[in-house]
Amino acid sequence: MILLLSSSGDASLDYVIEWLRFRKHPYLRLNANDLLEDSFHLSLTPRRLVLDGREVDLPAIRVVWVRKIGDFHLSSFHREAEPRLRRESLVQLGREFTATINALTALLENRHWLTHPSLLYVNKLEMLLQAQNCGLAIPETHIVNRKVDLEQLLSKGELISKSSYNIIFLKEPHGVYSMFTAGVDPEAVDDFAEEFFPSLVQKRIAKEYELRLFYLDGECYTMAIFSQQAARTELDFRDLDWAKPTRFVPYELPAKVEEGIRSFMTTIGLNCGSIDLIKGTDGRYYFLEVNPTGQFGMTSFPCNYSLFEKVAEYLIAHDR
Amino acid sequence: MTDKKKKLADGLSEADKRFYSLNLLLASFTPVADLERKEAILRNKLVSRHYQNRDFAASRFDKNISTPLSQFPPISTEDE
Repeated sequence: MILLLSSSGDASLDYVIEWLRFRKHPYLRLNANDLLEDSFHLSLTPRRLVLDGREVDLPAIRVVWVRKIGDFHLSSFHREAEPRLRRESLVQLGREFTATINALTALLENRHWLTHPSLLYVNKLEMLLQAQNCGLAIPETHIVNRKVDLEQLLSKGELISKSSYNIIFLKEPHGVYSMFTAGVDPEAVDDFAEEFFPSLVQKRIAKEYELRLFYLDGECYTMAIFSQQAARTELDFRDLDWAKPTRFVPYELPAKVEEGIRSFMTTIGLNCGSIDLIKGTDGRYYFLEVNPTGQFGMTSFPCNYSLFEKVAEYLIAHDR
Repeated sequence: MTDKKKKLADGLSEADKRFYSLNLLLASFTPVADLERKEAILRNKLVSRHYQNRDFAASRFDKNISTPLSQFPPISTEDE
């Protein structure tokens, strides 16, 4: 049996489930928020799991696909509890919930994993170093916290600023502030304080186009994104212009770059993930980041790669 | 490359700017028409027995193409 571990709102699972149903293959979907809503009994002695009154046949689980498991802050439980509990209590409950999820994945440790739970959250900066070790080009990268150092870097060329962690959206009454990749405007820097929080900046790569790649078990499914054709998407394709959508087309990477990607993914132990690259106007391919649980519908549908079917086939093949 | 969109830093006092990272200071504002209505719709999740999904989002806003334009998927297996 295949175990699908994620959150209720993960639409990627819905599409893979359609293929598993089509193949008539047994699966169990376990959403992190189900553990907060339904009755749940995880026993370590003896090892057993009971969900909503039903015993899960743990020995029958041979392969586990793990995605966005544990997003406590997105659960309806969190929404309801937030106005009632002290903030520290809610933070503590989040940690305890993570511990429970970790116990559940530890119970299934010797199964075949599509994305091992220890690799769900990777450090962007460490990944840049690993990619470089595997022969991939990366943008010149710095972390600075003094304006004088930033100005020195700016004197050598244009810079971009991006979050060293996942981005967030800050909500306002009539819109949102988005932490997308942004150009570092020297004029704007003039208004900043002499000191600021340690921040990631990279040399701006003049790009021909962006590439989004879905990696699955040694195969690279690549898509070119012509984001440089509009000022709004020039630095970050996610800042979409709905009136003039960006073109997404299938793309074949040079064999040497694909080899570098395979070497990188093998080195860090990931068998699945979404990777962002840039093709520079200098002809080089620059690795930007990897997201182990990145959504891949955005690559599958425009390029007709049928990635949901491929994921389902991978899971079925390893459930033997 | 100067981006004239409103930045988070524009609304911060000089004394507070040092507590932020560059990426936050440079976060740009995107106005969203009907934000409250969209959020209310997004909060209104459905239970889909078909997908064993209790947070099934029937509507998505301002997202990249992650779903094909097709028939609305079934909410329960009995709908099929």
